[in-house]
Amino acid sequence: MDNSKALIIVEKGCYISRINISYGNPSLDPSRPDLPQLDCIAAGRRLPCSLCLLRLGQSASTFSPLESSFPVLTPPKPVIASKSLVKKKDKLNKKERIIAEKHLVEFGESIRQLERCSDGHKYRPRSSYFPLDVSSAILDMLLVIHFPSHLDDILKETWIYFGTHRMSLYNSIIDIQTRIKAGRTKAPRLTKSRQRQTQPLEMDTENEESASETSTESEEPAPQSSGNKRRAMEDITNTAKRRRAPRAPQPSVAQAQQEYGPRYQARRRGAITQGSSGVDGQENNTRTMNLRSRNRLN
Amino acid sequence: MDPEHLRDKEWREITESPIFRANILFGCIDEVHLINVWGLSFRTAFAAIGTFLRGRFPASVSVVGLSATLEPGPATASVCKSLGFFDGGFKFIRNSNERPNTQFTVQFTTRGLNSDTFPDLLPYLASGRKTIIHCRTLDQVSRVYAYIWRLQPDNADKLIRTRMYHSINPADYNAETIRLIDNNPRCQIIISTVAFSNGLNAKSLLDSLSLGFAPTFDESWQEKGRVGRNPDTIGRGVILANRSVIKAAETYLECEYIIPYNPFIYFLFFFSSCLSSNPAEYCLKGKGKGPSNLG
Repeated sequence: MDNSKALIIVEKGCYISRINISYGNPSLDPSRPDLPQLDCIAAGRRLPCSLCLLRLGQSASTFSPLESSFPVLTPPKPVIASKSLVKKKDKLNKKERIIAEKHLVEFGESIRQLERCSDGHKYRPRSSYFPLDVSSAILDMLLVIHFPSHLDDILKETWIYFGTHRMSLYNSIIDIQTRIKAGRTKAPRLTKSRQRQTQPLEMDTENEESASETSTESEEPAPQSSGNKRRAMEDITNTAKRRRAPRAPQPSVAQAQQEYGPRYQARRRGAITQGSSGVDGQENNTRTMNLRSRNRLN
Repeated sequence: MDPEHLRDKEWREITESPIFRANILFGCIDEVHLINVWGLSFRTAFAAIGTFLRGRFPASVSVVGLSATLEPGPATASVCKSLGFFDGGFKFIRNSNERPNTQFTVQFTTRGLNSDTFPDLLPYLASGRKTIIHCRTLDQVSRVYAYIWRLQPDNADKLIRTRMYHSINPADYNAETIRLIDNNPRCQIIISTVAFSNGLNAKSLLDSLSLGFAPTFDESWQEKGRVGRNPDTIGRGVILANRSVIKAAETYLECEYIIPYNPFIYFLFFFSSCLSSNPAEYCLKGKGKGPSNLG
Protein backbone atom coordinates (compact mmCIF):
# COMPACT_ATOMS: atom_id res chain seq x y z
CA MET A 1 0.00 0.00 0.00
CA ASP A 2 1.11 3.53 -0.71
CA ASN A 3 2.48 5.13 2.46
CA SER A 4 0.67 8.48 2.06
CA LYS A 5 -2.57 6.69 1.27
CA ALA A 6 -2.29 4.60 4.44
CA LEU A 7 -1.59 7.71 6.52
CA ILE A 8 -4.64 9.49 5.08
CA ILE A 9 -6.89 6.51 5.74
CA VAL A 10 -5.91 6.23 9.39
CA GLU A 11 -5.89 10.01 9.93
CA LYS A 12 -8.01 11.09 12.90
CA GLY A 13 -7.23 14.82 13.10
CA CYS A 14 -7.34 16.70 9.81
CA TYR A 15 -7.02 15.43 6.25
CA ILE A 16 -5.76 18.70 4.80
CA SER A 17 -2.93 19.06 7.31
CA ARG A 18 -1.94 15.43 6.65
CA ILE A 19 -1.87 16.10 2.89
CA ASN A 20 0.14 19.26 3.43
CA ILE A 21 2.70 17.33 5.48
CA SER A 22 2.87 14.53 2.88
CA TYR A 23 3.56 16.92 0.00
CA GLY A 24 5.71 19.29 2.04
CA ASN A 25 3.43 22.17 1.09
CA PRO A 26 4.67 25.63 2.01
CA SER A 27 2.25 28.03 3.68
CA LEU A 28 -0.22 29.95 1.52
CA ASP A 29 0.13 32.86 3.95
CA PRO A 30 3.81 33.87 4.38
CA SER A 31 3.02 35.55 7.71
CA ARG A 32 1.91 32.19 9.17
CA PRO A 33 4.51 29.58 8.21
CA ASP A 34 2.93 26.90 10.41
CA LEU A 35 -0.41 27.14 8.59
CA PRO A 36 -0.14 23.89 6.54
CA GLN A 37 0.31 21.75 9.65
CA LEU A 38 -2.70 23.23 11.47
CA ASP A 39 -6.11 21.63 11.23
CA CYS A 40 -8.89 23.35 9.29
CA ILE A 41 -10.45 24.93 12.40
CA ALA A 42 -7.18 26.35 13.74
CA ALA A 43 -6.06 27.46 10.29
CA GLY A 44 -9.48 29.01 9.61
CA ARG A 45 -9.93 27.30 6.25
CA ARG A 46 -13.00 28.35 4.28
CA LEU A 47 -14.02 24.75 3.56
CA PRO A 48 -13.03 22.44 6.41
CA CYS A 49 -12.38 18.77 5.67
CA SER A 50 -14.85 16.11 6.78
CA LEU A 51 -12.93 15.30 10.00
CA CYS A 52 -12.85 18.94 11.10
CA LEU A 53 -16.52 19.31 10.16
CA LEU A 54 -17.31 16.38 12.45
CA ARG A 55 -15.54 18.13 15.31
CA LEU A 56 -17.58 21.23 14.53
CA GLY A 57 -20.72 19.11 14.70
CA GLN A 58 -21.64 19.53 11.04
CA SER A 59 -22.06 17.02 8.25
CA ALA A 60 -20.09 17.08 5.01
CA SER A 61 -23.21 17.40 2.84
CA THR A 62 -23.95 21.00 3.77
CA PHE A 63 -24.19 22.10 0.15
CA SER A 64 -27.59 23.34 -0.81
CA PRO A 65 -28.82 21.80 -4.06
CA LEU A 66 -28.49 23.92 -7.16
CA GLU A 67 -31.53 24.99 -9.07
CA SER A 68 -31.24 22.57 -11.95
CA SER A 69 -33.53 20.99 -14.48
CA PHE A 70 -32.19 17.49 -13.82
CA PRO A 71 -34.86 15.01 -12.75
CA VAL A 72 -34.26 13.48 -9.36
CA LEU A 73 -32.58 10.09 -9.40
CA THR A 74 -34.92 7.75 -7.58
CA PRO A 75 -35.11 3.98 -7.63
CA PRO A 76 -37.63 2.91 -10.31
CA LYS A 77 -41.12 2.15 -9.13
CA PRO A 78 -41.80 -1.55 -9.42
CA VAL A 79 -44.47 -2.46 -11.94
CA ILE A 80 -47.14 -3.95 -9.72
CA ALA A 81 -49.52 -6.30 -11.41
CA SER A 82 -52.78 -6.96 -9.59
CA LYS A 83 -51.74 -10.44 -8.50
CA SER A 84 -54.68 -10.91 -6.16
CA LEU A 85 -57.12 -10.83 -9.08
CA VAL A 86 -55.41 -13.76 -10.75
CA LYS A 87 -56.93 -17.11 -9.90
CA LYS A 88 -54.73 -19.90 -8.69
CA LYS A 89 -55.15 -21.93 -11.87
CA ASP A 90 -54.02 -18.88 -13.90
CA LYS A 91 -50.78 -18.53 -11.98
CA LEU A 92 -47.57 -20.04 -13.25
CA ASN A 93 -45.83 -22.65 -11.19
CA LYS A 94 -42.08 -22.57 -10.68
CA LYS A 95 -41.14 -24.64 -13.73
CA GLU A 96 -43.56 -22.80 -16.00
CA ARG A 97 -42.28 -19.45 -14.78
CA ILE A 98 -38.70 -20.41 -15.58
CA ILE A 99 -39.71 -21.50 -19.09
CA ALA A 100 -41.75 -18.36 -19.69
CA GLU A 101 -38.97 -16.15 -18.32
CA LYS A 102 -36.51 -17.72 -20.72
CA HIS A 103 -38.80 -16.90 -23.66
CA LEU A 104 -39.25 -13.32 -22.47
CA VAL A 105 -35.48 -12.90 -22.17
CA GLU A 106 -35.18 -14.05 -25.77
CA PHE A 107 -37.86 -11.56 -26.73
CA GLY A 108 -35.98 -8.77 -24.92
CA GLU A 109 -32.81 -9.70 -26.77
CA SER A 110 -34.65 -9.54 -30.11
CA ILE A 111 -35.89 -6.05 -29.19
CA ARG A 112 -32.33 -5.02 -28.36
CA GLN A 113 -31.07 -6.33 -31.69
CA LEU A 114 -33.77 -4.33 -33.50
CA GLU A 115 -33.46 -1.11 -31.56
CA ARG A 116 -29.72 -0.80 -31.05
CA CYS A 117 -29.23 -0.01 -34.76
CA SER A 118 -31.53 2.98 -34.56
CA ASP A 119 -30.28 3.99 -31.12
CA GLY A 120 -27.15 5.84 -32.15
CA HIS A 121 -25.63 5.27 -28.72
CA LYS A 122 -23.55 2.20 -28.07
CA TYR A 123 -23.46 2.48 -24.29
CA ARG A 124 -27.09 1.86 -23.65
CA PRO A 125 -27.46 -0.83 -20.96
CA ARG A 126 -28.84 -4.12 -22.26
CA SER A 127 -31.40 -4.34 -19.47
CA SER A 128 -32.98 -1.04 -20.50
CA TYR A 129 -34.52 -2.52 -23.68
CA PHE A 130 -36.75 -4.92 -21.81
CA PRO A 131 -36.41 -4.21 -18.08
CA LEU A 132 -36.69 -6.93 -15.49
CA ASP A 133 -39.70 -5.37 -13.73
CA VAL A 134 -41.64 -5.32 -17.00
CA SER A 135 -40.86 -8.97 -17.55
CA SER A 136 -41.88 -9.94 -14.01
CA ALA A 137 -45.15 -8.00 -14.35
CA ILE A 138 -45.94 -9.96 -17.51
CA LEU A 139 -45.06 -13.24 -15.84
CA ASP A 140 -47.46 -12.50 -12.99
CA MET A 141 -50.36 -11.98 -15.39
CA LEU A 142 -49.22 -14.19 -18.25
CA LEU A 143 -52.16 -16.58 -18.39
CA VAL A 144 -54.82 -13.89 -18.13
CA ILE A 145 -53.60 -11.86 -21.09
CA HIS A 146 -56.02 -12.70 -23.89
CA PHE A 147 -56.17 -9.47 -25.88
CA PRO A 148 -53.61 -6.77 -26.72
CA SER A 149 -55.69 -4.35 -24.66
CA HIS A 150 -54.85 -6.37 -21.55
CA LEU A 151 -51.23 -5.37 -22.04
CA ASP A 152 -52.24 -1.70 -21.92
CA ASP A 153 -53.28 -2.04 -18.30
CA ILE A 154 -49.95 -3.58 -17.31
CA LEU A 155 -47.32 -1.82 -19.41
CA LYS A 156 -48.73 1.36 -20.84
CA GLU A 157 -46.36 3.81 -19.17
CA THR A 158 -43.62 1.53 -17.97
CA TRP A 159 -42.06 0.19 -21.15
CA ILE A 160 -40.71 2.70 -23.64
CA TYR A 161 -41.11 0.41 -26.65
CA PHE A 162 -44.72 -0.37 -25.85
CA GLY A 163 -45.99 1.68 -28.76
CA THR A 164 -43.74 0.11 -31.36
CA HIS A 165 -43.45 -3.49 -30.15
CA ARG A 166 -46.81 -4.02 -28.49
CA MET A 167 -48.09 -6.54 -31.02
CA SER A 168 -44.87 -8.55 -31.19
CA LEU A 169 -44.88 -8.79 -27.39
CA TYR A 170 -48.52 -9.88 -27.46
CA ASN A 171 -47.73 -12.56 -30.07
CA SER A 172 -44.83 -13.93 -28.08
CA ILE A 173 -47.00 -13.99 -24.92
CA ILE A 174 -49.68 -15.99 -26.77
CA ASP A 175 -46.96 -18.32 -28.00
CA ILE A 176 -45.71 -18.89 -24.45
CA GLN A 177 -49.31 -19.38 -23.24
CA THR A 178 -50.00 -22.13 -25.80
CA ARG A 179 -46.80 -23.92 -24.84
CA ILE A 180 -47.63 -23.78 -21.15
CA LYS A 181 -51.24 -24.89 -21.69
CA ALA A 182 -50.07 -27.74 -23.90
CA GLY A 183 -47.68 -28.76 -21.17
CA ARG A 184 -50.48 -28.70 -18.61
CA THR A 185 -52.80 -30.89 -20.67
CA LYS A 186 -49.98 -33.31 -21.40
CA ALA A 187 -49.00 -33.67 -17.77
CA PRO A 188 -52.07 -35.63 -16.47
CA ARG A 189 -52.00 -37.93 -19.51
CA LEU A 190 -48.37 -38.68 -18.86
CA THR A 191 -49.00 -39.52 -15.23
CA LYS A 192 -51.84 -41.88 -16.17
CA SER A 193 -49.77 -43.65 -18.79
CA ARG A 194 -46.91 -43.90 -16.27
CA GLN A 195 -49.28 -45.48 -13.77
CA ARG A 196 -50.39 -47.98 -16.39
CA GLN A 197 -46.81 -48.79 -17.21
CA THR A 198 -45.88 -49.29 -13.60
CA GLN A 199 -48.87 -51.56 -12.74
CA PRO A 200 -47.92 -54.49 -15.03
CA LEU A 201 -44.36 -54.07 -13.94
CA GLU A 202 -45.41 -54.51 -10.33
CA MET A 203 -47.34 -57.62 -11.27
CA ASP A 204 -44.32 -59.00 -13.04
CA THR A 205 -42.07 -58.37 -10.11
CA GLU A 206 -44.52 -60.15 -7.78
CA ASN A 207 -44.47 -63.18 -10.04
CA GLU A 208 -40.71 -63.11 -10.21
CA GLU A 209 -40.51 -62.89 -6.45
CA SER A 210 -42.77 -65.91 -5.99
CA ALA A 211 -40.76 -67.85 -8.53
CA SER A 212 -37.52 -67.02 -6.83
CA GLU A 213 -38.98 -68.02 -3.46
CA THR A 214 -39.81 -71.48 -4.75
CA SER A 215 -36.44 -71.89 -6.34
CA THR A 216 -34.47 -70.82 -3.28
CA GLU A 217 -36.35 -72.71 -0.63
CA SER A 218 -33.31 -74.60 0.48
CA GLU A 219 -31.19 -71.43 0.76
CA GLU A 220 -30.88 -69.61 4.03
CA PRO A 221 -33.15 -66.61 4.30
CA ALA A 222 -31.48 -63.18 4.20
CA PRO A 223 -31.15 -61.64 7.64
CA GLN A 224 -34.03 -59.27 8.23
CA SER A 225 -33.04 -55.73 9.02
CA SER A 226 -34.16 -54.76 12.45
CA GLY A 227 -35.51 -51.32 13.12
CA ASN A 228 -32.55 -50.36 15.27
CA LYS A 229 -29.60 -49.68 13.04
CA ARG A 230 -26.28 -48.84 14.58
CA ARG A 231 -23.78 -46.63 12.97
CA ALA A 232 -20.23 -47.82 12.53
CA MET A 233 -17.97 -47.08 15.51
CA GLU A 234 -20.96 -46.06 17.60
CA ASP A 235 -20.46 -45.99 21.35
CA ILE A 236 -22.51 -48.78 22.83
CA THR A 237 -23.15 -48.57 26.53
CA ASN A 238 -25.67 -50.18 28.79
CA THR A 239 -26.77 -46.94 30.33
CA ALA A 240 -29.31 -46.04 27.70
CA LYS A 241 -31.82 -48.79 27.08
CA ARG A 242 -32.85 -49.27 23.54
CA ARG A 243 -36.50 -49.65 22.91
CA ARG A 244 -37.40 -52.94 21.37
CA ALA A 245 -39.40 -53.14 18.24
CA PRO A 246 -43.02 -54.24 18.87
CA ARG A 247 -43.45 -57.96 18.61
CA ALA A 248 -45.05 -59.21 15.43
CA PRO A 249 -48.53 -60.78 15.97
CA GLN A 250 -48.74 -64.57 16.16
CA PRO A 251 -49.56 -65.96 12.71
CA SER A 252 -52.78 -67.88 12.38
CA VAL A 253 -52.82 -71.54 11.41
CA ALA A 254 -54.02 -70.70 7.93
CA GLN A 255 -51.20 -68.21 7.44
CA ALA A 256 -48.64 -70.68 8.68
CA GLN A 257 -50.14 -73.34 6.45
CA GLN A 258 -49.93 -71.03 3.51
CA GLU A 259 -46.37 -70.09 4.29
CA TYR A 260 -44.86 -73.39 5.36
CA GLY A 261 -47.31 -75.92 3.97
CA PRO A 262 -46.99 -77.87 0.71
CA ARG A 263 -47.11 -75.81 -2.41
CA TYR A 264 -48.59 -78.59 -4.56
CA GLN A 265 -52.15 -79.80 -4.53
CA ALA A 266 -52.62 -83.28 -3.09
CA ARG A 267 -54.23 -85.57 -5.57
CA ARG A 268 -57.47 -87.31 -4.75
CA ARG A 269 -57.20 -90.85 -3.56
CA GLY A 270 -59.39 -92.22 -6.33
CA ALA A 271 -57.38 -90.56 -9.01
CA ILE A 272 -54.19 -92.11 -7.65
CA THR A 273 -55.58 -95.63 -7.38
CA GLN A 274 -57.27 -95.52 -10.76
CA GLY A 275 -54.21 -94.53 -12.64
CA SER A 276 -51.73 -96.64 -10.65
CA SER A 277 -50.83 -100.27 -11.12
CA GLY A 278 -48.39 -102.64 -9.50
CA VAL A 279 -45.36 -101.18 -7.71
CA ASP A 280 -46.15 -97.58 -8.83
CA GLY A 281 -49.55 -97.77 -7.17
CA GLN A 282 -48.06 -98.92 -3.90
CA GLU A 283 -45.47 -96.15 -3.96
CA ASN A 284 -48.15 -93.52 -4.57
CA ASN A 285 -50.18 -94.80 -1.67
CA THR A 286 -47.27 -94.56 0.73
CA ARG A 287 -46.48 -91.01 -0.54
CA THR A 288 -50.06 -89.81 0.11
CA MET A 289 -50.00 -91.38 3.56
CA ASN A 290 -46.80 -89.57 4.39
CA LEU A 291 -48.18 -86.26 3.15
CA ARG A 292 -51.33 -86.64 5.24
CA SER A 293 -49.39 -87.35 8.35
CA ARG A 294 -47.16 -84.33 7.65
CA ASN A 295 -50.21 -82.13 7.17
CA ARG A 296 -51.63 -83.30 10.48
CA LEU A 297 -48.42 -82.50 12.22
CA ASN A 298 -48.38 -79.02 10.72
CA MET B 1 2.31 14.07 -27.29
CA ASP B 2 2.36 10.57 -25.80
CA PRO B 3 5.76 9.27 -24.66
CA GLU B 4 5.12 6.12 -26.72
CA HIS B 5 5.58 8.17 -29.89
CA LEU B 6 9.11 9.17 -28.88
CA ARG B 7 10.26 5.71 -29.92
CA ASP B 8 8.99 6.19 -33.49
CA LYS B 9 11.37 6.61 -36.39
CA GLU B 10 9.68 9.91 -37.29
CA TRP B 11 10.67 11.52 -34.03
CA ARG B 12 14.24 10.38 -34.46
CA GLU B 13 14.27 12.11 -37.84
CA ILE B 14 12.60 15.25 -36.46
CA THR B 15 15.13 15.62 -33.65
CA GLU B 16 17.97 15.20 -36.14
CA SER B 17 16.59 17.94 -38.38
CA PRO B 18 18.81 21.09 -38.19
CA ILE B 19 15.74 23.36 -38.51
CA PHE B 20 14.07 21.69 -35.50
CA ARG B 21 17.26 21.82 -33.45
CA ALA B 22 17.80 25.51 -34.25
CA ASN B 23 14.23 26.52 -33.29
CA ILE B 24 13.51 24.43 -30.23
CA LEU B 25 13.07 26.58 -27.11
CA PHE B 26 12.58 24.08 -24.29
CA GLY B 27 11.23 20.63 -23.55
CA CYS B 28 8.42 20.27 -21.04
CA ILE B 29 7.12 17.12 -19.37
CA ASP B 30 3.71 17.49 -17.77
CA GLU B 31 2.62 15.20 -14.92
CA VAL B 32 6.16 14.03 -14.17
CA HIS B 33 4.96 12.01 -11.18
CA LEU B 34 3.66 9.47 -13.71
CA ILE B 35 7.27 8.49 -14.42
CA ASN B 36 7.24 6.82 -11.02
CA VAL B 37 3.64 5.59 -11.14
CA TRP B 38 3.36 4.31 -14.70
CA GLY B 39 6.98 4.14 -15.86
CA LEU B 40 7.74 0.94 -14.00
CA SER B 41 5.21 -1.36 -15.62
CA PHE B 42 2.00 0.16 -17.04
CA ARG B 43 3.52 2.52 -19.63
CA THR B 44 7.25 1.99 -19.59
CA ALA B 45 7.71 4.70 -22.24
CA PHE B 46 7.34 7.22 -19.40
CA ALA B 47 10.62 6.00 -17.94
CA ALA B 48 12.37 6.69 -21.25
CA ILE B 49 11.35 10.37 -21.54
CA GLY B 50 14.47 11.64 -19.76
CA THR B 51 16.75 9.52 -21.92
CA PHE B 52 15.08 10.85 -25.08
CA LEU B 53 15.30 14.49 -24.05
CA ARG B 54 18.88 14.28 -22.84
CA GLY B 55 19.99 12.17 -25.76
CA ARG B 56 18.17 13.75 -28.71
CA PHE B 57 17.82 17.44 -27.78
CA PRO B 58 20.72 19.92 -27.88
CA ALA B 59 22.47 20.20 -24.50
CA SER B 60 21.66 23.92 -24.29
CA VAL B 61 17.86 23.32 -24.32
CA SER B 62 16.13 23.63 -20.96
CA VAL B 63 13.98 20.79 -19.76
CA VAL B 64 11.01 21.52 -17.47
CA GLY B 65 9.07 18.98 -15.44
CA LEU B 66 5.65 19.79 -13.95
CA SER B 67 3.47 17.99 -11.44
CA ALA B 68 0.88 18.82 -8.83
CA THR B 69 1.43 15.64 -6.85
CA LEU B 70 5.10 14.88 -6.37
CA GLU B 71 5.98 14.06 -2.80
CA PRO B 72 9.34 15.10 -1.40
CA GLY B 73 11.87 12.38 -0.68
CA PRO B 74 12.34 9.20 -2.73
CA ALA B 75 9.56 10.06 -5.23
CA THR B 76 11.16 13.39 -6.17
CA ALA B 77 14.68 11.89 -6.24
CA SER B 78 13.51 9.13 -8.57
CA VAL B 79 11.93 11.58 -11.04
CA CYS B 80 15.01 13.85 -10.98
CA LYS B 81 17.26 10.88 -11.66
CA SER B 82 15.05 9.71 -14.53
CA LEU B 83 15.11 13.16 -16.17
CA GLY B 84 18.84 13.67 -15.58
CA PHE B 85 18.37 16.45 -13.01
CA PHE B 86 21.40 16.19 -10.78
CA ASP B 87 22.47 18.33 -7.80
CA GLY B 88 23.39 21.85 -8.82
CA GLY B 89 22.18 21.34 -12.38
CA PHE B 90 18.52 22.22 -11.87
CA LYS B 91 16.19 24.52 -9.99
CA PHE B 92 13.46 23.02 -7.85
CA ILE B 93 10.33 25.10 -7.19
CA ARG B 94 7.68 23.72 -4.85
CA ASN B 95 4.37 25.48 -4.33
CA SER B 96 1.43 24.32 -2.27
CA ASN B 97 -1.01 21.93 -3.94
CA GLU B 98 -3.67 22.68 -1.33
CA ARG B 99 -7.02 23.51 -2.92
CA PRO B 100 -8.71 26.14 -0.74
CA ASN B 101 -11.91 26.15 -2.84
CA THR B 102 -12.51 22.41 -2.56
CA GLN B 103 -13.97 20.60 0.40
CA PHE B 104 -12.26 17.26 0.95
CA THR B 105 -14.24 14.37 2.40
CA VAL B 106 -13.49 10.73 3.04
CA GLN B 107 -16.69 8.78 3.56
CA PHE B 108 -16.33 5.25 4.86
CA THR B 109 -19.20 2.97 4.03
CA THR B 110 -20.13 -0.54 5.00
CA ARG B 111 -21.44 -1.26 1.51
CA GLY B 112 -19.14 -2.90 -0.98
CA LEU B 113 -18.21 -1.11 -4.18
CA ASN B 114 -18.49 -4.28 -6.25
CA SER B 115 -22.26 -4.45 -6.35
CA ASP B 116 -24.64 -3.14 -9.02
CA THR B 117 -26.05 -0.39 -6.84
CA PHE B 118 -24.31 2.70 -5.54
CA PRO B 119 -26.80 4.51 -3.32
CA ASP B 120 -24.03 6.49 -1.59
CA LEU B 121 -23.68 8.55 -4.76
CA LEU B 122 -27.28 9.71 -4.76
CA PRO B 123 -27.13 12.51 -2.13
CA TYR B 124 -24.27 14.10 -4.08
CA LEU B 125 -25.90 13.67 -7.49
CA ALA B 126 -29.18 15.06 -6.16
CA SER B 127 -27.52 18.46 -5.68
CA GLY B 128 -27.59 18.94 -9.46
CA ARG B 129 -23.92 19.93 -9.57
CA LYS B 130 -21.77 18.79 -12.48
CA THR B 131 -20.03 15.70 -11.27
CA ILE B 132 -17.21 13.40 -12.21
CA ILE B 133 -17.33 9.86 -10.81
CA HIS B 134 -13.93 8.18 -10.74
CA CYS B 135 -14.04 4.41 -10.98
CA ARG B 136 -11.24 1.91 -10.55
CA THR B 137 -12.09 -0.41 -13.45
CA LEU B 138 -13.96 -0.36 -16.75
CA ASP B 139 -16.38 -2.87 -15.28
CA GLN B 140 -17.16 -0.50 -12.43
CA VAL B 141 -17.72 2.31 -14.94
CA SER B 142 -20.32 0.18 -16.72
CA ARG B 143 -22.06 -0.78 -13.48
CA VAL B 144 -22.30 2.83 -12.28
CA TYR B 145 -23.56 3.90 -15.70
CA ALA B 146 -26.24 1.19 -15.72
CA TYR B 147 -27.26 2.08 -12.15
CA ILE B 148 -27.70 5.77 -12.95
CA TRP B 149 -29.51 4.82 -16.15
CA ARG B 150 -32.02 2.73 -14.20
CA LEU B 151 -32.68 5.53 -11.74
CA GLN B 152 -33.66 8.06 -14.37
CA PRO B 153 -37.24 8.27 -15.56
CA ASP B 154 -37.90 6.94 -19.06
CA ASN B 155 -38.67 10.32 -20.50
CA ALA B 156 -35.36 11.76 -19.19
CA ASP B 157 -32.51 12.67 -21.47
CA LYS B 158 -30.38 9.76 -20.35
CA LEU B 159 -27.88 9.74 -23.16
CA ILE B 160 -26.88 13.35 -22.58
CA ARG B 161 -27.07 13.54 -18.80
CA THR B 162 -24.54 10.79 -18.17
CA ARG B 163 -21.43 10.12 -20.24
CA MET B 164 -18.60 7.65 -19.94
CA TYR B 165 -14.98 8.63 -20.33
CA HIS B 166 -12.26 6.00 -20.71
CA SER B 167 -9.44 5.08 -23.04
CA ILE B 168 -11.45 2.49 -24.98
CA ASN B 169 -13.80 5.20 -26.22
CA PRO B 170 -12.88 6.85 -29.51
CA ALA B 171 -10.90 10.05 -28.96
CA ASP B 172 -13.63 12.17 -30.58
CA TYR B 173 -16.26 10.71 -28.23
CA ASN B 174 -14.14 11.63 -25.20
CA ALA B 175 -13.54 15.12 -26.60
CA GLU B 176 -17.29 15.47 -27.15
CA THR B 177 -17.87 14.49 -23.51
CA ILE B 178 -15.63 17.30 -22.26
CA ARG B 179 -17.32 19.72 -24.64
CA LEU B 180 -20.77 18.66 -23.44
CA ILE B 181 -19.97 18.91 -19.73
CA ASP B 182 -18.69 22.44 -20.19
CA ASN B 183 -21.31 23.72 -22.62
CA ASN B 184 -24.48 21.66 -22.34
CA PRO B 185 -26.61 22.31 -19.25
CA ARG B 186 -28.31 18.93 -19.70
CA CYS B 187 -25.04 17.03 -19.24
CA GLN B 188 -24.39 16.46 -15.53
CA ILE B 189 -22.34 13.34 -14.89
CA ILE B 190 -19.12 11.88 -16.29
CA ILE B 191 -18.20 8.38 -15.21
CA SER B 192 -14.54 7.77 -15.86
CA THR B 193 -11.52 5.60 -15.29
CA VAL B 194 -8.02 6.85 -14.55
CA ALA B 195 -8.06 8.35 -18.08
CA PHE B 196 -9.75 11.45 -16.62
CA SER B 197 -7.45 11.74 -13.61
CA ASN B 198 -4.50 13.61 -15.04
CA GLY B 199 -4.19 16.80 -16.98
CA LEU B 200 -7.81 17.35 -18.07
CA ASN B 201 -9.45 20.67 -17.55
CA ALA B 202 -13.24 20.83 -17.48
CA LYS B 203 -13.99 24.05 -15.65
CA SER B 204 -17.66 23.42 -15.00
CA LEU B 205 -17.07 20.29 -12.90
CA LEU B 206 -17.85 20.90 -9.23
CA ASP B 207 -18.02 17.49 -7.55
CA SER B 208 -15.44 14.72 -7.76
CA LEU B 209 -16.65 11.40 -6.34
CA SER B 210 -14.13 8.57 -6.18
CA LEU B 211 -15.29 5.01 -5.67
CA GLY B 212 -12.54 3.70 -3.46
CA PHE B 213 -9.02 4.95 -3.04
CA ALA B 214 -6.74 4.94 -6.06
CA PRO B 215 -3.60 2.75 -5.81
CA THR B 216 -1.57 5.82 -4.81
CA PHE B 217 -2.66 8.93 -3.00
CA ASP B 218 -1.08 10.99 -5.80
CA GLU B 219 -3.74 9.64 -8.13
CA SER B 220 -6.54 10.28 -5.61
CA TRP B 221 -5.37 13.86 -5.14
CA GLN B 222 -5.18 14.30 -8.93
CA GLU B 223 -8.81 13.12 -9.12
CA LYS B 224 -9.82 15.77 -6.60
CA GLY B 225 -7.96 18.29 -8.70
CA ARG B 226 -10.43 17.87 -11.59
CA VAL B 227 -13.02 20.02 -9.78
CA GLY B 228 -13.07 23.62 -8.75
CA ARG B 229 -10.80 24.60 -11.64
CA ASN B 230 -12.44 27.97 -11.59
CA PRO B 231 -11.25 29.62 -8.32
CA ASP B 232 -14.58 31.42 -7.97
CA THR B 233 -16.49 28.16 -7.61
CA ILE B 234 -16.67 25.81 -4.66
CA GLY B 235 -15.75 22.21 -5.35
CA ARG B 236 -16.29 19.02 -3.46
CA GLY B 237 -13.83 16.13 -3.44
CA VAL B 238 -15.24 12.96 -1.96
CA ILE B 239 -13.64 9.53 -1.62
CA LEU B 240 -16.14 6.77 -0.88
CA ALA B 241 -14.25 3.86 0.62
CA ASN B 242 -15.12 0.63 2.28
CA ARG B 243 -14.32 0.37 5.99
CA SER B 244 -12.08 -2.61 5.36
CA VAL B 245 -9.35 -0.29 4.00
CA ILE B 246 -8.84 1.11 7.51
CA LYS B 247 -7.74 -2.29 8.79
CA ALA B 248 -5.52 -2.81 5.75
CA ALA B 249 -3.88 0.60 6.27
CA GLU B 250 -3.33 -0.04 9.98
CA THR B 251 -1.73 -3.41 9.26
CA TYR B 252 0.49 -1.84 6.62
CA LEU B 253 1.63 0.96 8.94
CA GLU B 254 2.31 -1.46 11.80
CA CYS B 255 4.58 -3.52 9.55
CA GLU B 256 6.20 -0.41 8.11
CA TYR B 257 7.19 1.13 11.43
CA ILE B 258 8.38 -1.96 13.28
CA ILE B 259 12.16 -2.50 13.08
CA PRO B 260 12.90 -5.23 10.56
CA TYR B 261 14.43 -8.39 11.98
CA ASN B 262 18.20 -8.26 12.21
CA PRO B 263 20.04 -10.89 14.32
CA PHE B 264 22.76 -8.41 15.28
CA ILE B 265 20.22 -5.92 16.67
CA TYR B 266 18.62 -8.67 18.72
CA PHE B 267 22.01 -9.78 20.02
CA LEU B 268 22.73 -6.21 21.16
CA PHE B 269 19.24 -5.97 22.65
CA PHE B 270 19.75 -9.19 24.62
CA PHE B 271 23.26 -8.20 25.71
CA SER B 272 22.27 -4.73 26.91
CA SER B 273 19.15 -6.00 28.66
CA CYS B 274 21.38 -8.35 30.66
CA LEU B 275 23.47 -5.38 31.79
CA SER B 276 20.56 -3.09 32.49
CA SER B 277 18.88 -3.03 35.88
CA ASN B 278 15.54 -2.34 34.23
CA PRO B 279 15.14 -4.49 31.11
CA ALA B 280 11.66 -3.09 30.44
CA GLU B 281 13.09 0.14 29.07
CA TYR B 282 14.43 -1.77 26.04
CA CYS B 283 11.03 -3.01 24.95
CA LEU B 284 10.24 -2.22 21.34
CA LYS B 285 7.16 -0.30 20.43
CA GLY B 286 4.45 -1.91 18.39
CA LYS B 287 2.72 -5.19 18.62
CA GLY B 288 5.69 -7.40 17.77
CA LYS B 289 7.09 -9.24 20.78
CA GLY B 290 9.90 -11.24 19.30
CA PRO B 291 11.92 -11.85 16.19
CA SER B 292 9.25 -14.03 14.65
CA ASN B 293 6.82 -11.10 14.59
CA LEU B 294 9.27 -8.61 13.23
CA GLY B 295 10.25 -10.15 9.94
